[in-house]
This record gives sequence, structure tokens and C-alpha cells, in this order.
Amino acid sequence: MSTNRIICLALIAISVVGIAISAYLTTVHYADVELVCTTDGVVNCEEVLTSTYADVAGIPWSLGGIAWFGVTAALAAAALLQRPEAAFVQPAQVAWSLLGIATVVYLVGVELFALEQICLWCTAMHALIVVVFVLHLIREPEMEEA
Amino acid sequence: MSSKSRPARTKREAIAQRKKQQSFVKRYRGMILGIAGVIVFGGLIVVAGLQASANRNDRSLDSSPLDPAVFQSLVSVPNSVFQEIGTGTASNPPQRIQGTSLTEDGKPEILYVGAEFCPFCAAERWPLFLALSRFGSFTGLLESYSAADDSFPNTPTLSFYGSTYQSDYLAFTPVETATNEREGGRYKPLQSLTEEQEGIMFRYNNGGGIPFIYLGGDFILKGANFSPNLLTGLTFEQIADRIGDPSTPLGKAVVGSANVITAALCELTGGEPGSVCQSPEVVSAASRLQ
Repeated sequence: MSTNRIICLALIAISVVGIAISAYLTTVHYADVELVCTTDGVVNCEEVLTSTYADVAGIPWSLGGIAWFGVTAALAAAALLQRPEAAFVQPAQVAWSLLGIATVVYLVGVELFALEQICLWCTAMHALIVVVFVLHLIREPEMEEA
Repeated sequence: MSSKSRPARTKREAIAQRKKQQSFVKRYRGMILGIAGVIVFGGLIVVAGLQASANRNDRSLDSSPLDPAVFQSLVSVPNSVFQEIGTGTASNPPQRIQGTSLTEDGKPEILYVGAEFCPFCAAERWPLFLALSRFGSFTGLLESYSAADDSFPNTPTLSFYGSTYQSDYLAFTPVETATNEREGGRYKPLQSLTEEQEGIMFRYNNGGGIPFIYLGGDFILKGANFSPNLLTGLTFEQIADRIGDPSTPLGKAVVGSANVITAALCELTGGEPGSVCQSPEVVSAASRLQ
């Protein structure tokens, strides 16, 4: 199996994990159930996820996470299945992961400077987004024979 | 000549062909990493800067004793002003209830539940202070502001926290449940309700909204009597001046609300003191009680 295919499969797997975490956080948000996370000291998911920064116009960030990982998985699937790979796929992946990185920077900034609390679930999502960005950078699409 | 230029062109074509074969990322990797770097470092600097600026603008952190001159102006609002304004533009008058009697030392007790961050509490403290000051006197009041990140940000107000109220007619128990300072994603807790007070809140204010005022078991007042908007951007001196001026919207709102609250308080005290409760504006305001 080529490196490109392995990376595409890894991207899909990471997206599934990202969607699962986002779906869990979205469920907690709407169902108002207790979150599995420590509430001691600097690490306090509940403080972060119930803060005024936890949503935009009532829409929780985790819903955006579902959408982001969904598109990431779709682009990876397109790269995996198309022969030759469509020209738009890799630029779209790069632009999409830059958007993800910008969002991570904003949310980490809010955690560090405004809330002074860290949410472990959110940190896991942020780490996944950074890994997706790196994988997009190292992926070499399989080119058409010259 | 032509034999020399042909290999050169072939080489150029080969380079162009190889470039074409390179992936998007390989061609633009440096630029992409540059953009990512700018996003990461620039973004963190911008977020930190915005937060620092928000903290500088957060007047809610300023809390100092009420200026004695302002206090004097407020407690010296002439009777003529109360009379001229009447019920003014007061809305949301106290609702009559048949609740459990609340007393302290044999005097009807007024329970106020609010929080320092809350803009509607910030508004409601002004008429409540004015009304209660006709039955007794406050000491230890603080100048404060509602939270900078809530609606009607930085609404100037008096904090009842740490204040004392002396009256021959009434007892006053203020509970400010939270400060106007953030601790994590919430406002720092300040005072807790007693079991009895929680019972009153549960029975008459199940939604837990603030401000909530329980007047001795005869009336409740939920929310504010006027919009905090009228206080936006004013200094404490300006507020005192406008409250004492019957022609200003703030005066009509605060003094009008104070008259309606005073009418309710007079029912609790059995019409004492007569100098307050028999005044025409208070007698007239009693008709607004629901």
C-alpha cells in the first residue's frame, strides 16, 4: 500500500475520532448531562464548555467540529478513490486545515488568556486538527504518469 | 546554433514538466508553512491583545466607597421632586402576594437577591436605595459596575455587599450572589442564600431570575423597574444630578420607581412614618400596586 493511501486512511480514521468527540460534546451541550472530565485546577472542561465563549449565537463549537472533521474525511476519501486525483483536492485540504489551525489558535487563546482554564476534550480535538494539518502537508498525491 | 539551443529547450521543458508533476504542497510548502506561522503567532498575539484591552475597559473591577457628595445628593432629593415625578415612567410594579411573613427583630424584612455582574440589578438598586432611604439610612455602600461582558455593560450602580441599613420601621437583607469578576467562565460567587431564602426563591422565583425582591411576604418584585440603558456611560455625579432633576428621563424612571416601591413598603409598615406614607405621591403610587 502506498504512503499516500496510508495517509488518506489515517485522515479518515482521525476524522471519525474527531466526529465522535465532537458529537459527545454536542450531546452534553444540548442534553445538559454531566461531562466526563476533571474539574480541579487549571484543567476544567465544564468551566470552559459552559463559558460565554463556548458557543457562537447559541451554536456550540463542537457542532463546527463535526462539520470540520466531516469535510476532512470527505476530502481524504476523494483523494483515496479518485485516479488521477482531482487537482482541487490537495489545495482544498491545505486551505481547510489552515482554517482549522486558525480556529484552534483562537480557541486555545480563549482558554489561556480569557478563561485561564483548559478543557482536555477540546485539547484532544485541537491535537487532531494539528495532526491533520501535518498529514496534509506530507501527503504526496499519486500523479498521472508523464 | 540550432543544435545548441535544442538540448537547452529540452532541459527547460523537462524542468517545467517535473514542476508540473510536483504536488501542490511541494510547490508551495514554504508559503503554506509561512501562512500557518503567521496564523499561530499572529493569532495568539491578537487574542492576547484583545483580552488585555477587554480587561482595561472592564470597569466592573473598579469598586470604591460611594462618594459622600453623591450619597448626600441622593438622600437629599427634595420632597418636591418625589411629588412632581409621581410614578414617572416606572414599569413592572411589585406584585401583591400572600406569602410567608418575613420579619427581623419584629420589623418587616425586605430580601433583595441580586448579583454585582447583573445589569438589571444595577438599575434596580437605585430606586430601591432611594425608597429604603426614606425609612432609614445606609452606610458602607460601594460604587460598582455591572459586568463588562454582559448586556448593558458597565452599568454604574451601588453595591449592597458589605453595607448596613438602619431603620426603625424595616429590616433589609441584601444578598449579592456573585461578583462582577470572572473566574474561569463564570462570575466569582459572593454570598449564599440561607435555607429560608432559598425556600422563598423556590416558591416565588423558581426560574431564579435576578434581581428578585421579597417585601416582607406581601409583595414580590422580579426584574427592574426601568432599563439599565438610562444609566449607560454616566458618572455617579451625573446620576445623582439627574435623579434630582424631574425633567430628566433617569429622574422620572428612578424616582417614579422609588415612589411605587415606597408605596409597597408603607403597606408593610402600616403607614409609618406618616411623613413618608401620607405624602401625596406615595398615596397615589399605591394605586399602581398589583
